[in-house]
Amino acid sequence: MIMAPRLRKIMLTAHITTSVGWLGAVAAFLALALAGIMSQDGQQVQAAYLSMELIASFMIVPLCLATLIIGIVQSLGTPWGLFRHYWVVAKLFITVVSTILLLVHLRPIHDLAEAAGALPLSSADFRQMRVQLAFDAGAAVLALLVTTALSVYKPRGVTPYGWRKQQEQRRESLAGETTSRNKAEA
Amino acid sequence: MAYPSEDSAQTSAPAMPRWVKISGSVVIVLILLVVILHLSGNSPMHHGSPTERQEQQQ
Repeated sequence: MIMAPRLRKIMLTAHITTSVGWLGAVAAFLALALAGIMSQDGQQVQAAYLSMELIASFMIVPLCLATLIIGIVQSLGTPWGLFRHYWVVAKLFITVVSTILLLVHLRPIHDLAEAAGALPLSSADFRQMRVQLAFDAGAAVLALLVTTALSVYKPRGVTPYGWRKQQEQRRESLAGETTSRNKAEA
Repeated sequence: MAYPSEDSAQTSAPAMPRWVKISGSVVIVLILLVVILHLSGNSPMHHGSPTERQEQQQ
């Protein structure tokens, strides 16, 4: 069912806000992750990991889920559809995978914050996990930049399902035109 | 928002665009790399957990 233009604009505004907000929150998370690795100041390292958990729990997770849900609703309510165009399918795939990976990473983020809060972390403590979190945040930023570019450029390409839907709609509109013409001639 | 124009002149389904084939191949390679890393035990999420640190300190 296609949404009315006003509702479409509201949904589009909400989708852009949540998706770009998600990108910004992940970029902030990345900055903190890098500070946690590179800083020699114990208090700064502690603050970084405590803040990372807060940003992840209260910004990244809600924005990520909102982006996914609003994006799906919006796709289904416009002629673009959810599976008709490759650029939409690509965005959906990236968003779903990013959401799953984010939820998987919540535990180590919490564990690091707990460890940092309890005792001062030396540069060697949980080194691999800290580097991994920074790397994964960087990868997430890249993934979200790709989805942003896809939204703007909308590269051409109709899926087989989308092509079948176009053909159905074309047949229906031709049938409608034929019926109208016959009525006018009668 | 510019909505899609119909490819109504075509009589058969269009071929998969090159950008989809290339990016899909890259994604498959990345997924395989991650799976191999995890299966070979090089996942950093299994190392340096707080419980391991506590065991080291005892």
